[in-house]
Amino acid sequence: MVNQENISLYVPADESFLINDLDPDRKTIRISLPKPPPLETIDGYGEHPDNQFFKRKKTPVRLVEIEKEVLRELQNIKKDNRQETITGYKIIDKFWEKFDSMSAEYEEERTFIKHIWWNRIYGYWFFNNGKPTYITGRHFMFLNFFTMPDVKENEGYPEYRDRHRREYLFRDYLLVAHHTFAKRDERGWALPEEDGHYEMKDLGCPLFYGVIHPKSRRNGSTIMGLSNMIEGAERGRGRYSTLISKDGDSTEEHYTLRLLPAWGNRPSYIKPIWNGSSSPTQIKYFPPKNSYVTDGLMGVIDYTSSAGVVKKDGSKFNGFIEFDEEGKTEVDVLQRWNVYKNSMALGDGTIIIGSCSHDSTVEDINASGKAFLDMLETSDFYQRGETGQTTSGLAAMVFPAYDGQEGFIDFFGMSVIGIPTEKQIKMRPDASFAILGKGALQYQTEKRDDFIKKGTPAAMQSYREYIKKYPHRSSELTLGTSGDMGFDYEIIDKRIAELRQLKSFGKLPVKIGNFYRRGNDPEGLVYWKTEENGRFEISIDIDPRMANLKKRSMGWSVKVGKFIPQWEPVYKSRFTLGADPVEYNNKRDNVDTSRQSDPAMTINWEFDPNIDKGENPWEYETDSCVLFYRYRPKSVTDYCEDVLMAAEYIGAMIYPESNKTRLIEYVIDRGRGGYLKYDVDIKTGKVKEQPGYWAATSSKSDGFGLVKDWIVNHAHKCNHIRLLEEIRNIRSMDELTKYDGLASWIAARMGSQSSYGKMVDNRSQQKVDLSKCSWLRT
Amino acid sequence: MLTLKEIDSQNLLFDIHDKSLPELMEEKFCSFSDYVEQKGVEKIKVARFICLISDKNSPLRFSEPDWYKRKYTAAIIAGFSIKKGTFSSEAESIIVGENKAVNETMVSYIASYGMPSYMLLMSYTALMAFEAQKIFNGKGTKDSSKIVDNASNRIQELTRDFFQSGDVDEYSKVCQTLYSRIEKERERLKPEEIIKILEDTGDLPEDFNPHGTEYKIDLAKDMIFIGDK
Repeated sequence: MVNQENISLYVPADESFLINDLDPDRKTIRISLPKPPPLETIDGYGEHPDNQFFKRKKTPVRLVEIEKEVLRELQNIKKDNRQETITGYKIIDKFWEKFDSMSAEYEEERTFIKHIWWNRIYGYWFFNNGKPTYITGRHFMFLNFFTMPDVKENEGYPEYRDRHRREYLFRDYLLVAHHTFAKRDERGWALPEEDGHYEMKDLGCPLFYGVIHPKSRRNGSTIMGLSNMIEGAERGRGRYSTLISKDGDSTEEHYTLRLLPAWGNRPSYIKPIWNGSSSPTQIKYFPPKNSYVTDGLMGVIDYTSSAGVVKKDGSKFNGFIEFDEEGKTEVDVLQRWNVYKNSMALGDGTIIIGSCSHDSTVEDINASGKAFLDMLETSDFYQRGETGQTTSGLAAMVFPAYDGQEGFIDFFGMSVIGIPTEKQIKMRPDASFAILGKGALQYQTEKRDDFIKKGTPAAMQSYREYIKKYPHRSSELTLGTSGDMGFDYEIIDKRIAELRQLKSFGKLPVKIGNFYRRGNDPEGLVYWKTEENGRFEISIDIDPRMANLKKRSMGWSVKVGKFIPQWEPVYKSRFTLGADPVEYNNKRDNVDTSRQSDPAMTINWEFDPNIDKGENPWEYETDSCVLFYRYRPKSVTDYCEDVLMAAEYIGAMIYPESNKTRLIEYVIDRGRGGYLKYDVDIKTGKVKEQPGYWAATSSKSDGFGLVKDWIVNHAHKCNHIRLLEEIRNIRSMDELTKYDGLASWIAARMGSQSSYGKMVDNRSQQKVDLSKCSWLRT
Repeated sequence: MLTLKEIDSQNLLFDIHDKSLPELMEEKFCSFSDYVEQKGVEKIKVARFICLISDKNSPLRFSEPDWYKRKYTAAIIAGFSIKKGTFSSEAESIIVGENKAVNETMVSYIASYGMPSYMLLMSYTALMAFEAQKIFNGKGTKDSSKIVDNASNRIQELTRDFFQSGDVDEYSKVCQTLYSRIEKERERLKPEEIIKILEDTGDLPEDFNPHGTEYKIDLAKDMIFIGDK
């Protein structure tokens, strides 16, 4: 008899769910949900809401007994004959043999298996605190069949969490999503109608490969990914699932210590036949070699031991790929993703056959995690291309750290974000939220405030580390935590966040393009051409009349051993080009591609008192970076010519690294020795013999000091996000070899200290009045 | 003989006077939709025939204990066409169990009661198959033939019980349908079999659904983007 009083307490099921709704830097995504079935068929119906929560399906005792019996029998056979090893095939085959022989008596067990399958494929409804609640089939399988040997609570099974429910719902939605936005702006951003709704267009095929998900530690995403790998391989014939982590060791560890035990613990009634032992290095759902009558699923689950870019190029991934911790691998994950993406689709990406998840712990996203963040940036649900896909083919899913934080989950699996209710405290008195009397958001905000109140450099570093670990919004994912370089990271991070936002709307205040010479003539005037994949980023508009301002003078050539005519900029104290040439092979003139280093250059617009007349450097327009270049050209000569063209067009003096002579030689050979900038001894006024700077430890240290000072007054106006990211990510001076853009900026800042340009400018402007020299008049 | 009007549908699974009986039967037993209507044996007549034969509360089970007589009476009440005192060839094929769709619907109808005889029948069929296999493989024991004999007898009894056919063995194709249904159920719970069904039909069998046959989930239609608020 159903208790009507209980039923009167029930509330209707949700009609939709939200993704990215708690991230102020992203637009909310609202997705509809299936309608509930007749309430009386939903698990938990009739119970009081307090007793309605997710309960794992209990396998009927008789099914468990059959499994035990099968193992016992096989072990006995093995005892008698050692060659009769226990294999996956034998276990499963014998299980079904026994079950079939008795199945008529096992109607309850048969119904149980049928329902498990229905829930696996279509999802599961249960009453949760009075509300009919829907979870996806993959979530159902994760909660019921994924065991973790290192977890003692809940018998090693995952706890039901509402955050996971939303994660799984979104992942399943992406598998079937085939609509794109009918109206988009020129950059692909969805445009709503006047009433706020979006007109959608059905493209008739799936449009997403999966999600990209920056996660908090111990969020459960990795194990959910492992569970999805099993599902990906077992839901069809000939499916292939794999795991790729930050390196080979981590991948093997996940596979061996987490995936295999969970897979091995799955009951026989849902396990397909596999060929091999209980801990195979590759799970193959094949029948044994000598079996001619058994049909296997012919799928595979394995791990990719190398995190490299093209390890499995050529394979077809139609199951599920878990990309784990991409934020902290040295591999270019963007490049790798492009390779794998091709293997997950047919027809040049038009028919997506597999799915994936890119999960990375936010606190571990380090300098090499930039590619992961770039991938995240090209995965906004609301920005689509003509094919209906995002640029990456993925959809970003971001949850703030306070949603689903450990210790802040109530009895029904809901995140306790705000102040906990009395009922929440009463029903889970041991949880952190109950003990503290506060929700995760309040707890984390107070911790942030404590660091700020202290305000010491150490406290601020801890503050940054804390935000990085528990971010509340997308823009906080890009925070650097290095701190030990002593830079003002608040300014850098704030500016990076501003620029990223501008970039996503296509309003970054820089122009991308290349320099060319008129008529392709080596002596031709240089002109600028804006091009999508250009090598240069510039943030200054040079009046064409002010470009290419150069003049001829006589200069000493060491090579020729006499004074020869050479070009020089008309104004030598306006811009300094810092150059960080690449290592090169003398014999072949080829760029050495063996290390992760690119030739780079930046141009500093020298402080100009005619423009910036005030005393507050914070407001200055000059003393700023106006050009950024970090590119690996085909040859050193190409780079040298790029340097020369940039210097000529803008009118900058070139300040190169003295010990790398190739650029200096090139500039002189091209008859432009007057563009080279020299250091000047401030005591004697004597000009150094070699242009540029020597990359010694002391000069590096001075250079970092100059950058540090520049950040305080000027970084908040810098328009070059790549330069700011390099400054933010570097952790020690020794790492400068990896940060070529920053190295060139250090050169530009050091070059700006040289009085050489001003000295030459002043000398050329000096006029000596010889009219009074009597001997000249005679 | 009873007439259609005199039959009270209250205790039957369907109201045999309802004009939408064929549609209702199709919803409950999808095999009925495979029945191709023929002159003289229209869908509504065949649906009534199936109810009268298969419903455990059918008044014919008591008034006509003889299996053949019951079938004949049911066909008359249902209105199967008779010419010169004999049934048309179309009607006859249904009565003697040669129409696959009707057979399947009858078996589904009876099985839907979850009768113990049906379950027992399944187990004996499985047992007999298991022992027979052993004998064929040369691995039979001294008890094998005894088991097969006993199982065979029990299967006969239970088949009669299933069809409520008294002492009459139902050797028609309805019987074959029954056995093939049992075999199908026995096989289809292995993951490989279920995946095959899923890939072949795009769906799981109806009886897998814990919420009843009328409830469906289609994520591609149920989960769609609806806005940014």
